[in-house]
Amino acid sequence: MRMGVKVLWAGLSLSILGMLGAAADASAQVVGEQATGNLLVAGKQVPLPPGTFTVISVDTAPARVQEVETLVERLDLGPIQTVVLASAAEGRVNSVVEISANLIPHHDGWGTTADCTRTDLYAAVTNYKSGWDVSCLYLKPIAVDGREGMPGGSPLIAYAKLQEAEASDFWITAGLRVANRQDVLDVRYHFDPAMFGASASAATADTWSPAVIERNTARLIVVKDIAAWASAMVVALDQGLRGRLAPDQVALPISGSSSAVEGSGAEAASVANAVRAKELLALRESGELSQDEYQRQMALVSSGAAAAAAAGGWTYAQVAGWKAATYRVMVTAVNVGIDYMFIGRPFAAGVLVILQVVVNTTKFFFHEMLWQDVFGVGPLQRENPRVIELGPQLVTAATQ
Amino acid sequence: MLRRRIVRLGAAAMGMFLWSGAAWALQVGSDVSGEAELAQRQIPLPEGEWTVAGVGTNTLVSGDPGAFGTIENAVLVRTGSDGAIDAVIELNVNRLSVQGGWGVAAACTKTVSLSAVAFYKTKVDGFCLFVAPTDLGVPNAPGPDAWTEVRSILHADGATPSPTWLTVGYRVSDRGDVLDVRYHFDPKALGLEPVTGDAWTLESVLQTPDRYAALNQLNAWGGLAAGLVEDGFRGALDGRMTEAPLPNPWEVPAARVTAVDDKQDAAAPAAAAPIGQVSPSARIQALDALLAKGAISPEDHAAYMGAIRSENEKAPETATDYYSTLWAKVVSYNFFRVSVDYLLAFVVTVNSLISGYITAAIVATHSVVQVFNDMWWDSYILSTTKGETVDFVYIGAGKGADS
Repeated sequence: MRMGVKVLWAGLSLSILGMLGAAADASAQVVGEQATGNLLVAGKQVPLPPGTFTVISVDTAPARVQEVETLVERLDLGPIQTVVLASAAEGRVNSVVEISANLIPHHDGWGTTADCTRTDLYAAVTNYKSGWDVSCLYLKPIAVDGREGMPGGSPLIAYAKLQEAEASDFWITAGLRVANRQDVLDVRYHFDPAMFGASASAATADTWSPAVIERNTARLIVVKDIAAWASAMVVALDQGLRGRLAPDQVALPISGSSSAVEGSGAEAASVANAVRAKELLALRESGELSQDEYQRQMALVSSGAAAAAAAGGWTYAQVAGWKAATYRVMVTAVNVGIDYMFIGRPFAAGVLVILQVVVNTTKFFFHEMLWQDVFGVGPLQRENPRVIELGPQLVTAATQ
Repeated sequence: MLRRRIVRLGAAAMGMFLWSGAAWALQVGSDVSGEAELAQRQIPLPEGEWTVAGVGTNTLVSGDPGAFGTIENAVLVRTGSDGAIDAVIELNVNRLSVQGGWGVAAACTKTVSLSAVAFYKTKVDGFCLFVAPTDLGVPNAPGPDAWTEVRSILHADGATPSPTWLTVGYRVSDRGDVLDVRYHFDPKALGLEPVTGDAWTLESVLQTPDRYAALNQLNAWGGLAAGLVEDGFRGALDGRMTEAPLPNPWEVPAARVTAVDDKQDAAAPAAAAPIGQVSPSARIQALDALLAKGAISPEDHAAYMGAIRSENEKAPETATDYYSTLWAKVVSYNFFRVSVDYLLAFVVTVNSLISGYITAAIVATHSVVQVFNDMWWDSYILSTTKGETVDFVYIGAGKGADS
């Protein structure tokens, strides 16, 4: 099903572009509008990379929920607003931002994106997740194969043509997903490695693959810079989902982000914790927080106790294992009686009981795993977020 | 993988996302109506002009949710037609977001509240409503610092306020933030004679028709305002309180249950159904608004509407659904059980009849054991995923709701 009121870039004239220089604010974007700093999409604030961006596509699309191996459209979640922006300089499209956000709040949480669960990317980090909220990011290369995989799709091609700029066929993508019980924000920042002085193309995508990236210092620095920038963006996006970014938020530089912090001694501190430490210090210096309370809360930040407590929980395997153990204890006692009653010979009954313990415990464990994962409705299943995809589907280097 | 590095990178820019200090606190002496905003959380106000009578910071008396900075506290009062304060609102919100949720308020869980409803409750978020008596009008009623000045105003010029007020309280929280708002109403406004807290035990209320009717009135009002409170927590009131102020509890139609014999029918408002901007009607209105703005086409509107209506018509899951699933699971397992157990028995006995008896006995007994095993584990897991109790110093209860 193809949904939405799609307005393509190609139909607009340059004269319209020149009239829309102010930062975008409104809840609904217009193609051709320019934006810097951050953008309000479906009532959520989205921080943008440095530079001036142009809205190249505004659309709506349904959410797609992963059920077993397939993605199923969920129209009851309402339309998802998708906005694509691009920035060009010196004859190249250097950044593309794809934003997806729900237009209608939902009461029962949203979910994570499959890319945040992968292990074959540059990085995939989940800050927190449950059945009702999630915060995660991933970094991956995208090698464009024809138009299908181009970030921004055909509107980007049209934009590049109009700008007389070249659109790369190889991108580094930082994808972020933040969701709470009612709202979701999914942002994919695509960067042309050339903007960092590194040459890249789909033909040489192998040299950028996650498996070999650490072998080349120059390429690794590019990925690390984007990683550093994206990890800061997660914090910003979390605030943006809550509508708490300053309207005049200044875009963060990308280049040099990683080198600026390497060796700074920020060991073991997540970006969120580092932000929290700064906020606490500001409160202490303003006199709003006593020294004792400041030290107490800083100790909590340093230890990461709250995050660890929040992350703790049951896995399917743990529960299946414990259930199998307790079930086996009970039914073995029952089996001893049943087997002896019908067989009448202690040795033969004992052999049967042992066989039942070994075979049936294995059988029970795997049956539990299957039901929890596929059919279960118990509390454990709700502790794990469903996978829900928003916005355009891209063919990526890792999936080709 | 850059997984380890990624969590420590990016800190160079971290200072740029500190919250701005603007619009933090309500100003003492200022008047507000419709809604108040504290630390970017909006609070719906019953109609009338409210005065910010006290602001300050609060302390936790239970729980340890993490590095929250400070707890911002404010007390608002409203003056009735007789010139006396007839309603008090106390607000508590966190300054900095935490990472592991805010737990629940004791008043939402303990049995001494006259009524309590948990709209949802998980390890990371929660939303509850309660109605309880509060000894707010007694001399030296304890409370946070912001309350001290208000208390003296309440007793100014030898006034003798009702010793015990009626409180409709809400606790709404997500992984990072919390809003605890308590609306205290003078029972005189509900047509009740002032009595002490001893007269507001649940047993006493159930035996006293007028107090029982008042409880129903507050429950009805609490259910009405709940959606607004949650929307306000998410900053989504969108100015609608200015257009349609929240009525007072005594203005809300409620079943006037006055006979003690009817007490079985009177209870807290039902939980479960989504409220506020996520309620079925609000979602449909939002979809209509998207069509009106041209954000979606009529065809898309029809498709989404059909799906939303279909979802709305689905009956919420019940205990029966849960037990049905458990039995379906037993049936599924029995497909494996019958074949495997028969085979094992036959290997040992080499007798098909005895193997059949053994298998039948196993199916009958084990199926029951399996259901009870599942129920116990589901219950246990649920108990471990609920948040701890987190409480602040409240008006009328210096050490939290437990004192």
